[in-house]
Amino acid sequence: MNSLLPLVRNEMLKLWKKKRFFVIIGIIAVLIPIFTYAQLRVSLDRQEQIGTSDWRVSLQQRINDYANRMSSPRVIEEWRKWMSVEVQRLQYYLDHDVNPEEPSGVTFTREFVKNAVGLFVPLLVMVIASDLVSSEHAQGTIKLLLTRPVSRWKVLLSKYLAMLLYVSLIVTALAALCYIISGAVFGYGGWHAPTLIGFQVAGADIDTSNVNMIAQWRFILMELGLVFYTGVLVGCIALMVSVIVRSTAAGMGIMLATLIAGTILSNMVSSWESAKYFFMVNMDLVRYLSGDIPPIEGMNLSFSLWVLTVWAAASIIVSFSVFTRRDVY
Amino acid sequence: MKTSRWLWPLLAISSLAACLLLISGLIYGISTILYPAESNLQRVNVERDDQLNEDGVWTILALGDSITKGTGDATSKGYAGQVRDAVDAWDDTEVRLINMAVNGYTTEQLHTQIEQQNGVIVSIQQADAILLSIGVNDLYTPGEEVLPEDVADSMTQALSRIEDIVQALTELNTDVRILYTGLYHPLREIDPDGELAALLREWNYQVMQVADAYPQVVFVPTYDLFGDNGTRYLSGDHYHPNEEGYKRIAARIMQVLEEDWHE
Amino acid sequence: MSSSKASAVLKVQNVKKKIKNKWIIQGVSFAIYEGEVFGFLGPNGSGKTTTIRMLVDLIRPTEGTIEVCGKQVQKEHDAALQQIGSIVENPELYPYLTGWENLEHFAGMLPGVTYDRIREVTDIVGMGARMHDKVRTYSLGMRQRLGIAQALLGNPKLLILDEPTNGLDPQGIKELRAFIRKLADGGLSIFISSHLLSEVQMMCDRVAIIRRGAVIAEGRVSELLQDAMNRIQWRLHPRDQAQELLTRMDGVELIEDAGREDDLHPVDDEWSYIWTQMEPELVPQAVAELTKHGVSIYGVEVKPPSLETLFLTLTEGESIE
Repeated sequence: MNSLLPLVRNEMLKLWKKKRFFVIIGIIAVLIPIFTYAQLRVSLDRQEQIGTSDWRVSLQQRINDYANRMSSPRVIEEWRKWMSVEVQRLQYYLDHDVNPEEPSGVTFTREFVKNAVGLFVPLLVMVIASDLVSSEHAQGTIKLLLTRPVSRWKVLLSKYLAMLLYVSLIVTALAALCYIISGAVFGYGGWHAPTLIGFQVAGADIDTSNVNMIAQWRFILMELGLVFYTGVLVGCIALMVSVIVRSTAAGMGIMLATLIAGTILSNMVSSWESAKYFFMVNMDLVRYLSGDIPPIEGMNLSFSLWVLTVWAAASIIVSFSVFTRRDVY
Repeated sequence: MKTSRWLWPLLAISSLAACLLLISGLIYGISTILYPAESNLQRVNVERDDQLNEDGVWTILALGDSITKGTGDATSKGYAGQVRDAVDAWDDTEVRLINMAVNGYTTEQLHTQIEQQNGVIVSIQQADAILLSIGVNDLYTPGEEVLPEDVADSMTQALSRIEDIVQALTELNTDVRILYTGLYHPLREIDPDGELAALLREWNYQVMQVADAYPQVVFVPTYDLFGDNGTRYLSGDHYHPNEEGYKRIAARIMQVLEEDWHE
Repeated sequence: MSSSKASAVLKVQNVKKKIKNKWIIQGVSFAIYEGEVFGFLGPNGSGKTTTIRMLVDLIRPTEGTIEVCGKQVQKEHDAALQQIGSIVENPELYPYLTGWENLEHFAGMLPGVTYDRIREVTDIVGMGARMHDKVRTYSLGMRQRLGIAQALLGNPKLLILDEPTNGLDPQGIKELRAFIRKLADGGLSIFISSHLLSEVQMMCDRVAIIRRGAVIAEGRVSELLQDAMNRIQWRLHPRDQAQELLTRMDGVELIEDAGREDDLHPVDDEWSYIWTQMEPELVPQAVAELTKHGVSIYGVEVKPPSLETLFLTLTEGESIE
């Protein structure tokens, strides 16, 4: 096993020298100021519209806004359900005098990461993982890599480990940059702001019997852990595609199409129940933490974790069996 | 060679640390979600805070049903929005409107809202004037047959709740001016016998009596605003006022507010 | 080299490869001994590259065994590959790494390669100061050197070079030849593939010629030429009758179309040359036979073809297709 360490080192350094990580940091560093500004506009706008800076009033108004929209007979049932859950959840915050959106760098980070889990983080992971093997084919270096006195499974395993470590770096860097950049606008506090977890959605209702208050940093820690899991899954799938498809462009295309199709699916599959076995529909694990309504009724954390794990395991099995057996031309 | 000497240890240590941190977060998250602790949270009631009204902004709070919400107004301002604009035109006055009205609200729902919704309680304390319309949804549902026997019963309950509501509002904010918008009759064409008309007049009369018991409360009549030619001021649903209709209500309210202002 | 036959560095036994129901390699066997430079010749598409890829375990043979220093490549991948340094096709390295970083990368995959060893191989190939430039800025020659450096890193017993002369100018080929000779003198066995015999004939101790997935000749270059020494060129009249007579004789074989070797002899139905494969001892007998039947003989000559023609003959001219 000791021969694995230099292999991981090679893979890590190659990815670094390929400047892929810089690309990702660049993407994050460009996007976050934009979102920070957008968030600032939204809160200023809301404040102006409502004419108050008291969060309780503006939150109450948002709740009543949902209530009004729900009263319209033209609202789609699915939306009504979502709003009903949202009304109950936000009202619970209000009832317990907890501001769900206390403006701060930490809150922004929490919200941004939560929204990033569905598409943004997977895309970043894809940038790193989708050509890990195919680029070796494209460059022809696969021949040098596989003619060493090192078993093929070790070569592939080292790539998996490098992917795992880079996914950790990406998720951490995303959170860190988010905090640093948005903190300049919203302030660097908010680590100990109270946050509520434990909402359980049942149909259009919410069960609050297990709701507890925790410090926001704990929420972020758990959130990042869940995002990490999704990121690793996407990495596994992307690596499998990279093993099977030898063209980097085709591999990226396949991954991109899959991920985007997944986002679209998550928004429209509520009536197609077996769609819940797609990994793309299960990527948003954070919703189980914040108590959002799942895309398909009956989905919960254990289910989603199972689906993701089965997909990841299957992709690992496929890529190892293909990679170790395939003839290289 | 030069870079990789320090790059690799740096990369290895930082990514490994990040990985361990995230894995611990994952385990923590999964265990928290799968094995949640029993909630130990208590409802927090907003304390009365007289400072809330001292922010120098003239605050209008709109409470009640779809009439206050402004349903039917193409500009979606409703009479509350019109009032806000009119007050804004006064010299040196910064004004804010908080509209908490919800379509279809009954007296019972409004009462619960005032008692329980912290955001509403806070805004009541902030308010300089409260615009209120409620009760019509207790009495009848548009499109359904109105049975006088049933209505009489629900009217008694609704009236007592109106009193509770006014009581609650004045307790939270003693100085606030409360303007109750009376009911009008939008359905004259399907009410040839005038049964509903009688009912609405009765309601208005009763509310006026409640209002008289509180110096802060003013009953603003609208029954005459939507007279025989009332459909001109009604929106497409023949039930809610349109923009013009709301303007007429707002004008009435402004008469009261301007009088207050000049005092 | 017969004295060292006992220690075969590479032993290929009846290796076959079937791809999509087609036998791409139909049985290849040969051996390479210590300190020997072995040429592997064949036109493009003859199965050379597939064979090389099987030697380094990139492709699994359908049948047959490949042994490196007694270790089977397919069964003992690590132990076998440790003895091989190779460049398969072009010297493709990571363009975004420097030459040094590339070597560090591959050193990490070999047991016991130190920084000193990396420095040593860069000295052997003469990389010099360009070592720390990014590989994407390298010329083909530089890449070739780096490729060889990378192949030598693990102190292999066998060096496999696939078409090493591709893209090199005559000066480069000359340098390469000297370099390879130097390595072989140091005890390294070297396997060189090429589709041009002329380029490697001077470097190689022995060659094998592959055609359509099978080895059709193997031996020292001079041994292979031996057969060719038995080529006789005739100038006689009438041609058709002579051909008929010669074909009937034992130990005489007509060679069709050998004239393409040089165009000095325009094909003339009446007055053209014919060539035969036969022992020179048979010539007087043949002359007597022809004369007896009234064929006029104007010239008889032992005329060996050039190596290139030999190669083309053996491979049925596939390289010019």
